[in-house]
Parts: sequence; structure tokens; C-alpha cells
Amino acid sequence: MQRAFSLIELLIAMALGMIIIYTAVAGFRLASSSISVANRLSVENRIIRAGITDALDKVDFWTDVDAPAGDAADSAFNGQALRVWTDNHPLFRIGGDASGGIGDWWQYSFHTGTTNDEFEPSRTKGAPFAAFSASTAVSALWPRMGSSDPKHQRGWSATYAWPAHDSRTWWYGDYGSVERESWYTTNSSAPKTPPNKNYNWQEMGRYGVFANRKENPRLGHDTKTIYGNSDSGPFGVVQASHSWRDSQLWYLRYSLGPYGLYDYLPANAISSIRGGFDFQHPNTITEVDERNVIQFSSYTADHHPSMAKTLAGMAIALYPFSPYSFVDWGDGVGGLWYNYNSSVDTKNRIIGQQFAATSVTGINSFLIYRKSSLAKPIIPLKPDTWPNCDVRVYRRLKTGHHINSCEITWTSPLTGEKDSISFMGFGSTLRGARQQRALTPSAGSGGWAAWYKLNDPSNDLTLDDYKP
Amino acid sequence: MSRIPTVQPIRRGTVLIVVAGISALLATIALAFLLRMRADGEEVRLLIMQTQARLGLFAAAGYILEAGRIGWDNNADKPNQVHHETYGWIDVRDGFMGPKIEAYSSAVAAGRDPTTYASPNFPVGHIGRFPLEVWQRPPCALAMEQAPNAIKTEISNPSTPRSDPLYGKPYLINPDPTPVQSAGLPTGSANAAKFADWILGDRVLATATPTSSGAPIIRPESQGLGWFRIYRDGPATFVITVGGGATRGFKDWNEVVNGPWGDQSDLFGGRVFFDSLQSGEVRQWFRVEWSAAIGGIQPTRLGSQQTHGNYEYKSYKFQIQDGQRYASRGNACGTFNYFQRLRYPPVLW
Repeated sequence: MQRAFSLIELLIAMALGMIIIYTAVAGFRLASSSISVANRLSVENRIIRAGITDALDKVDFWTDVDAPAGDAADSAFNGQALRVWTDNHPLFRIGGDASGGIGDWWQYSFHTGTTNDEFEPSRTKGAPFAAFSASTAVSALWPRMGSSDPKHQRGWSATYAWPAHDSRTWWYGDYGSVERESWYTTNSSAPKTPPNKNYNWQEMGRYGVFANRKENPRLGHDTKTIYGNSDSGPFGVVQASHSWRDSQLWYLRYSLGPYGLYDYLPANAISSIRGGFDFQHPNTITEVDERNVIQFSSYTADHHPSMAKTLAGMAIALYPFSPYSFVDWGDGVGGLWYNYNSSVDTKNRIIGQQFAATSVTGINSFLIYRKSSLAKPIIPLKPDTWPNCDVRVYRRLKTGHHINSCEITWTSPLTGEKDSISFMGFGSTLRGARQQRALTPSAGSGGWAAWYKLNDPSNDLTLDDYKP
Repeated sequence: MSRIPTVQPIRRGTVLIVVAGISALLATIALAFLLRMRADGEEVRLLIMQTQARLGLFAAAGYILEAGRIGWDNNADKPNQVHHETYGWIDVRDGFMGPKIEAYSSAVAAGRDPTTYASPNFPVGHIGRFPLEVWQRPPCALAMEQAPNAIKTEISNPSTPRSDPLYGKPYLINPDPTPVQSAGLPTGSANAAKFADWILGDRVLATATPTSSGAPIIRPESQGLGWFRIYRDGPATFVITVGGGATRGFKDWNEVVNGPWGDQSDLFGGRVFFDSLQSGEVRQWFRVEWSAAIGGIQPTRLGSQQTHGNYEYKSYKFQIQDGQRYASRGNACGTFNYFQRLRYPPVLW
């Protein structure tokens, strides 16, 4: 009777056992790693889903460019960089330098005297999230003034829909006489005699009297154009038939910047107005009330009077402002706002939210946006070992459409590589976003304006409203 | 004679424990995997509902644009007239609230306040509720026929011999686009019925004749995914509610039973079921303002030819700017002045 295993049996049994154990462990490890991979893929999918949801949230509420209740993490602007042209911002008109630091860029952006820059030294300028009623020491950013005649009223009305039948919303002008208008300069060598197409001869009449941003424009006094010479003669101060529409465009431009202007205007609104200033002599306000004022710098508008909301072939981007705008990106010349394209002119337009990127200029609006925007992680405070996810929303107006390009970038928890997806979002416009924000936030509101129903007295005032 | 060795009971128990342990381990791993996958599915479902809601926003915007201009057959202002054009939510002709077919004459308008006089269609305070479902065959469905009048040759489908009188002739014999239901002209009674059937789309017919309009036949897989709802709160402003879910746009159970659409409780079977649908649904609120401006046209070429000595003014047609590739086409139904996502549900929607 055999009472024990033989050595050979034992060795074979041990070998078989080890093979079985090894196989089991290998199988277990494989199953375990498969689970890990599945989990990490699942985490990656969750990151993407969270990014998409966060991007749509940003599209709807614009929290990436304006924090309604402020953002302590943004020590420079409190998350409200696009409201800085108001009195209340701590950086309002603080002196500084132009070397990339935070300086007096409010002043710098509008007081350059650069050729073709828009300029009006007598007024405070706004930004996309500046409240219309935000005041300087003396007046609102966009003063509201009543008039018995609706054709001459001033100030924004959030409940007025610019109905097409209302004659005060119409443009009164002569396309022929303004299409090729350009400014006369003292150094111009162009002949000032007909048939030079670069001058507005006003053969079809003086339309400045029909519509003007001023209720009482002074006509015929512009000595810098051919039509202001002695042959034409001054007409003196006249009563313009309409001044509501032109002043609306004027104040939208200066209260919000060009993105805001075209966001607020009805489609196809002709952006030409009359009653302007002298580009070439910004330090001197001259009466040029018959000039056609284009709402962009000359090369983007090409002096056409009809840069309507369609904006064919041209994009107007909304640029966020953040501390990153002042970071030296290693190109050796300071922050984006100072150095991009090595052009002071460009810088000013970015800061003033008045830059219109075109194929002509060759300036990549995406690059500007990328270098100026603050890509906010969806989890700001997290352990370093957690995978990262950043969300950006690029906003621009192009070919008559609002375009919100959402970009989600994340670090794969599986491979450690960075990856991204992008898609177009559809949601709140700038005007909608401004109407979401309370003019005077109440405690606990998070900066959001409560809205119950139309004309409800309990509705909070928004950035578009005026204090009663 | 040797005995066949038998496994000791204690050894059998060990194997059992080992096998059971490994099985339990595998089962646990499998269960964890399944739970993770299920959680993923739940989260994906949430994303799908958000997507459905966003699609509802597109659909609602499209409805507002189109309903301001078309679709008001048998208008209260002018009954028995079909397919007439209307002129926007604020009528561009007289400034009264629309959509309406006829402009008010000055005599009629004299006694009415344009800011408060109710529109004959979809007046202020009206609610429209729109479950988003796909019909089996929608009204006026068109075939995906790319070339309904392709020239017939030997290699066409069907091939045509040269002796055929239609061979090689570019005849426009068939309607383009082609109706799904080839109806022909509604001259005879049979064609008329067929034509009416095509106009109505697939419906549950109350009678044998297709001219009877019944409930539309819906593709089952498209039901219960999303909806939108429109409340007109001003002359040109609307509260749009969009939903990803199966409540068909009813606000709550009370509205299902007592709402303006009558008792619709048989759609859901009971309050408990409706409440469960509502609790698992994504809902978002938006406010928009319609504008009559149509967009798309950039009349920059309406200009003067001042290079000519005689200052000839030449009126160009409205067209896109020369050299611009990215032309934007206008929308004859209007545009929107703004979209505003509402952070909280409004009082009226």
C-alpha cells in the first residue's frame, strides 16, 4: 500500500500546481488590468462628458468671460475683466506702463492718436459687460434722455424690439454718395477735384440733415473735405429729422465694442451713421456732421456704409481678458496685449474689443483668443494626479451668424496624452448674457438677475437696465 | 490488487473553497465592471437628453421664424383662404401684432392699440406644446430622388433603347422634387384622394378615405425623446422651454388633466408614471426676441460709379460683396435679436 507520494509525483504535482497558479495569476492580472483600462476609459469618457456639459454651460451663461459674482482666483480682474471700463473697477485708470504690465490700458487703448483708430476723447468707453448705466463721475456710460419725440430719444430700452415698421429704425442715406467716401488728409496728394472717387461730393444732396447722431448737427463746416469748401458753403445748425437710430449705433459701439454692436443690432442693420469726428486729429473734436462714420477702422470697413450684421468674409471676435493676457509667452516682448503682431494698433483693438480679424490682415483671431483667454479647468482645485480638463469657448460673428466654437482639452488617464475635441455650441447671445446679470446683485444671488415674467416689478435690473 | 486512490474529503473542500473564491472574485470584478458600464450609460443618457433639449431649441427657433410668416391657413382674419403669407409677429406693414394675413386699414387701425390689440393667431399669452416625434410619413413627404428627370440612355436605369421616343431627350416629365407618394394631378377622384393622402401624411384614418385626418402615425423609436414648448409673453418675445424626456411638454400633472388641451391623462396612464418621467427629464428655459430683419443680404454693390466723368449712378442688385466666398443667405422668416438662457424657471411658460 502506497502511503505517500513519490518524489516524482510530488515534483510533477508541484509543477502542475505552479503552472495552474501562474495561469490563474496571469489570468487574474489580465482581468485586473482590463478592469483598470475599462475604468480609465470610463473616466476619460466622463471627463469628455463633463467637458461638453461645462462648455454648453459656458455657451449659455458666459461664465468663462464674466463671473457674475466675481472670481477671487482672478486677482487682477476679479473675473470681470470685460467690465473694467466702469468706475468701480480697482484698475480703472490706474497709471502704468506699456511694457506688458497692467497699466493704464483703459486710457491707452483709446487715446493713441493712431491713424484710423476710432477715437472720442470726451467719453468713457465701455466693454462687452459694462452696464449701460455704469457711470463716470458725471454721467452714465450710455445716458438715457427722454424726448417727446421718439425720433430723438436716447438710451437703451431692453423691451423695444426695433420693429421694422417703425420709421425711426430705418437708415436714411445715399449709398452712392457714401460708398467711396474717404477722409481727406492734409498730406493727401490725391486731387480734390472731380472725378476723384475718393471724395464724397454729395451730388445727391446733404443727407446729414435727414439722419444724424446729433439732433442739431452743424452742416457745411468741415473744411477738410471738398464738400466743406467755399463752393458748398455752410448750412449752419439744422434740426435733423432722425437721430435715434444713429445715436443707438454710436452708443452701442462705444458702450460695448464692435462685437456688442453687431450682437445687439438687428440683422442687416446698416452700420453707417452721420455725425462724427476727425480721425486724423483726435485731439481736436471737429464738427464733421455730414461725414459718414463707419464703425470700424478703415481697412476692415473699406469705407463701405453697409457693414451690416452679415459681415460677409469678416469675423468679429470677442476677446476675453485675463491675467494671461499679460503673461510673457516667451517671444521676448511682453504680454499679448502689448506685443501681438508687433502692432500697437492691433493691441489697441484687442484691448478695446474692437478688433475685426480678416483674411486681409492675416491675423489669426484664434491665436489671439488662445493667448488671451483663461482656459478654466472644470475642477479648479484638484490633486495633481487627477486628470485635467480645460474648456474654452471661442465667440465670434461671421457671415451673419453667431459662432461659438467649443474646445475641450483633457489629459487621457489611460495614456497620459493630451487630446481635444471641438464642436459648435448654440445658446445665449451677448445681449442674453447681459440680461442674465444683475445690475446690483442681491446677497446670495451669485450675481444673477432674478426674472419672473415680463414687466414683473420683482424682476431684478440687469446690465441693460437703468436705475429708476 | 491495488486500490484506486480516492480524494480525501478535506481535499475536496479545499478545491471547493478555491474555486468558489476565484469565482466570487471574478463575479465581483464582473459586477463592478457592469456597474461602471451602467453608470456610464446613465451619464450618457443625461448627455443625450441635454442634446435632445438643445435640438428642441433649434426646432423652437425654427418654429417661431416660420410661424411668423407661413402656416396660418383658415386665418381668423380671412377664413377659407389657405396658404396665405403672413407678415411677422409684429406685422411689418402696420405694426400690429401678428401673424395675420390682412394689414389693418387706417380706418380699422384707428380704434386699436397696436401694442395691445391681440393677434388673430398665437396671441400673447398663448402656449404651444410640441412633442418632437417622427411621423411614419410626414405631410407632403418628398422622395430622395436626385434626378427625377434623368436623360434616358442605354445605361440609364432602366435602360432605354434608341428607338424609345424618350431616348436622349431632356424632358421634364416628372415633378421635381418628387413626392414620396406619386400622386399625379388631382383631377380624378382616385388621384384626388391620393393627393390628399400625400398632403396629410400617414395618419390613423377614421374612415377608408384618406381625406379624413386622424392622429399621425409615429415611428415608435422616436417617441418620448424630446419636446419644446413656446409661450408668447410679448409682441415679439417668447419663452422657449425645451425638454429631453417623455413628458411631451406638459408642465405638470395638473396641466395634463386640466390644461388647455383637455384631459390628456390617458397619454401617461397615471400621475405616478408622469411624475417619474418628469423627475428624470432635462428641462431648460430660454427667452428670445424675434426680429423682422432677414439677414444675409449685404448690399454693398449698390453704389456709384464715380470714376466716370459724368457721375453715373448705377444701381446694382442687392448681392453679396464681391470676392467674398462666405456669403450668408437671408432668412425670409426673420431672425432673432437675442437668445437668453434663463437661469431659473420663469413664472409663466
